[in-house]
Amino acid sequence: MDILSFVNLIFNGLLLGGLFALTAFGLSVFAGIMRVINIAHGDFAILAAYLAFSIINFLKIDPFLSLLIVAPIMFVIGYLFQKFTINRVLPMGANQPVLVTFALSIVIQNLLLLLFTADARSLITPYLLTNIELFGLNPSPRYATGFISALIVFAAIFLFFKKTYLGKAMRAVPFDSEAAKMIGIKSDVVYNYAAGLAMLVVAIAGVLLGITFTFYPDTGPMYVLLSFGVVVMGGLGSLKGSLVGGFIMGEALVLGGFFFGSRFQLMFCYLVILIILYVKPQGLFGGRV
Amino acid sequence: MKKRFLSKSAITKIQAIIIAVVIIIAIIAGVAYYYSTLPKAPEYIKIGWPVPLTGGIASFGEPDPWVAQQVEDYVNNKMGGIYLSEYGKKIPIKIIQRDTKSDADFASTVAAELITKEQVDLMVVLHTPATVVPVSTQCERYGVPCIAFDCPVLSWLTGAPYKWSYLAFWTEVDVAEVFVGMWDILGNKTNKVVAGLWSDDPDGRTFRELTVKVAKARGYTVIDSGLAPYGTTDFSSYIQQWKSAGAEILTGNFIPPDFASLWRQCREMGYVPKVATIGRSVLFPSAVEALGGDLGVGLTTEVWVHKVSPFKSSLTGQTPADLAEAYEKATGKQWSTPLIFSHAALETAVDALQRAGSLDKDKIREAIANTDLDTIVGHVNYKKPLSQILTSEELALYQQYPELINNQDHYSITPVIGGQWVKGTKWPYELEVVYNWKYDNIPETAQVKTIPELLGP
Amino acid sequence: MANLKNYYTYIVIALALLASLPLWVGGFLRDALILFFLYLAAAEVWGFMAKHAGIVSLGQQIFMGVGGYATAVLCMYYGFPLWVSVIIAGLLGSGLAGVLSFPLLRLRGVYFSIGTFLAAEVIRLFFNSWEFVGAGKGLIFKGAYGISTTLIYYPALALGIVSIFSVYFLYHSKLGFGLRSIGADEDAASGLGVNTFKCKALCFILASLITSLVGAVNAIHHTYLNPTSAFSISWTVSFLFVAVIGGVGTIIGPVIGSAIFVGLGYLLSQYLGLSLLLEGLVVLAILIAIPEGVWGVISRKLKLKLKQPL
Repeated sequence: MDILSFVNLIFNGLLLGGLFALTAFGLSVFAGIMRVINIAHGDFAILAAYLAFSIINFLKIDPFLSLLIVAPIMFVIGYLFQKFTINRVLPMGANQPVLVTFALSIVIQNLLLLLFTADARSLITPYLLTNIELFGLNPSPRYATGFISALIVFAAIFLFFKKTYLGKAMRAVPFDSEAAKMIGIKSDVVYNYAAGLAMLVVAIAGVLLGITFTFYPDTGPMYVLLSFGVVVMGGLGSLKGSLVGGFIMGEALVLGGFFFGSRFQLMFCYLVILIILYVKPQGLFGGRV
Repeated sequence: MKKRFLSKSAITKIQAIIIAVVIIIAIIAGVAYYYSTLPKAPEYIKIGWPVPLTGGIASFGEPDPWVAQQVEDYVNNKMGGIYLSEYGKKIPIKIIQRDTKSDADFASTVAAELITKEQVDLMVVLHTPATVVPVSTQCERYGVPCIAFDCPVLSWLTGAPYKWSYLAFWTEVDVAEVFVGMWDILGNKTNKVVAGLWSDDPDGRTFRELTVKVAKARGYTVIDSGLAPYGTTDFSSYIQQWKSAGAEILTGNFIPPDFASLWRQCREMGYVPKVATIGRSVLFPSAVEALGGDLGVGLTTEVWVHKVSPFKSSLTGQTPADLAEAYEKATGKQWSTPLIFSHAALETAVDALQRAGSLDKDKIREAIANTDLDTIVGHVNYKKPLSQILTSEELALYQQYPELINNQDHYSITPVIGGQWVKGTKWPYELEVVYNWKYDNIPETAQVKTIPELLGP
Repeated sequence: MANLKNYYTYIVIALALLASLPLWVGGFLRDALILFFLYLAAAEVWGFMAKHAGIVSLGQQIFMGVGGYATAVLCMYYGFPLWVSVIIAGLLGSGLAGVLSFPLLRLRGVYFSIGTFLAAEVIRLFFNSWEFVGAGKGLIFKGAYGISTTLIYYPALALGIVSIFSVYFLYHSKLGFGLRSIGADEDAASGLGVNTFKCKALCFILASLITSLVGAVNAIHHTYLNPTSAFSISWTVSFLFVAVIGGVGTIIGPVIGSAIFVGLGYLLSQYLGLSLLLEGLVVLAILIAIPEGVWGVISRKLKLKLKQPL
């Protein structure tokens, strides 16, 4: 393969990495604030994709437009999820949330299976199926859309945490909930909003994933594993880290396919995650374990 | 101090619980024993049919509920049932379908359930090795006669030797001849460089082996990109390689959703080969439409039976065109090839049951083995030796695969020809017969063209 | 264990009845019973690990798959007698657990759980490309063709019983005591001199031995192995559900849980996903509101004051 083709490959890996980063942001926000790794994270993303699918079929609108409806729904789902489930089991011990989110993952998968059957689905955007030429490179339009969205969402969350009262409260509570309580912040309520925010981000990621790849009711677990890898690489709670981690994961998938063939693509990615877990569980950029 | 295991009241309670559990087990056992010894009256002939109704290959199984209904109605109402000489009367059939979810392991479970719980008298199964092989295997294990269609022979033979299962379909040797045959027709319109990628499953593997072999033998350069597991979503490294190598012919075999991912990515990356001949993925209009845009135009594929095929159902007398029309009228959906094959499978089952004259599984098996029937998809005869069907060159190619020779009395070869998808008049996409290979009785309906020719300027 | 002697007669009668069941029940119920005992065996050890050692494994499917494949390969490729292959497969599975302990048991809490899930996926994808075992095509276990369900029932029953007794004795052993202290507070236990790694590893290895044997018997019952289903997360889902529904960490809990799980599975098998959905919702409800599970509720209502771990 010539140099230009190889560079094109790397370039597309970077764009794909943006999409992975976007998918991981939701997990990172959730884990960074609530200190809980939501095992059902990938399933929530796929749930958003199916919601979009239903809305598109019913209203016949563009997939991107459907986000205007899907995102608020997911926000509410996140809020309720935190309020009635996670908040209740947080005091029960470190492993209870693991069991709960795992069970929830199964519930979502089977609910989707019952409602939508096991057929393959896709959010079709024919206008993205074209060929773009940019300085001799061919960026994939779908990957590029994911990449741009990741940057926008990153900036939005960053500003939210830095400039808004709620955002600052969300960062304060996990550090010292006693001190936060003293200045009038109710940690439970803050957690609820944080979960809603996380699910909002998950909704955006889910719809973009649905546009880029075909999905089934059981596609969720693959995305939670990849997102987990991104978050671990970047360091828990670090958004910047998740962005970089996403890029690394995207490249790993594409280059893994190039060097080892598609049979070993995904396996290579998972092995990379396992190695990082073993060698530097606090992430390549530091952070809390 | 004495260590008490339990408090005093709890001891009697535990005793009571254990006694209760023991009594419950005894009652269950007694009832089950009673029911299992009740004599079974042949009220129905039960035909088990595992079908992929959902999942990656759901498009194969979609027409099957309609086919089952149609045949059941015909046999039970028009014919009054199947006459079984052993009981001296006509007995109605009952077709019991179960969803395999397109999963081989689940198909296995579902087959076992049909055999042990529903106690079916015979099994019918179709639709790719993922469905047919596990079901045939369970039938071997429990000793239930099994009629199989719609599974390429070599991949089915991974479960050989078979005693109870019989298959009617084409072999991968045949389909490789058809694929390369279509490329030969195009002659100098392509640069004869072929890129190939196949799904990592029995279907994909056997297609790969034979397509590469036959293509190389006929002078094509082959870029063998190997096998891709189910659910692969990123093919960019391959597509990049194929672009760099200038491969004008693309070939492969995938489950429909995976091909959709690949083909869309090809378009995005600006790779539009002149010819794309793909097995399994573009057999149905729904799969072709699902690709989006005009991505389906010009795709070539194997065709097992077509509206213009000159066959007739031994059961209802319908031709493939009649059956296709009836389906379209009744369901409002476009016809597809597996529809016709599902009908053929039931035809073969009914014929075997009539000749067996009994629900004794050995007698049914004997009857199937002796099938000599003109069905809606062609002639089915398992016993006819290969030397009487194939030319000496073809036989030589077959002999490279001993399983094909050793198991020849368990399969019957049905025709396979080449087809191409073009923009349709009645439906968005329609399938033309562009290469009838050695089956001169099946007319070609159009000339094969390259994709750019069909897409236009 | 002097107290157990009081119940010897009852235990013997119960065992005799269980052993005679295949003679009474039809083929279909026998299948159900095999599943019942296999799930019971695997869920007992999973529950023990989760509740008393504090390690939630989401990777039990590793051992189900390795146990199954090893049995098939040893029997068909190397000519070992079938049941000897089963034993060796069990040992190979626990050996693998020993090896995996080193990278995985360093991780704590949810990191460990996801680590086991990742390891399972890596192994699944590896088997999917490993030509020797048929890769994605799978392996047809012809060596198990002639085995009747009656014959398979006994190893399944045996595994169920062995698992129950293992958990009981493990709980009361020194190792068990060490594990329970780790489960309560790992850092404190470590501070008190408990070798946390060794304890957790031994527990993990024992659990994987039983799970591998379960996988082996399951492969003989099923006769068809392919990486997607042999290494599917659904195995862990089943064990987790059985344990939690019954009462995680108890001995009698999984007995009830397995009956409910297998029963519901058969009843609702025609409605895809419905049984798992219902069970998932029940599990969620139990985890949030009644963590002691069905058996916990029953024993509370009957005012049974049972000494742990029953």
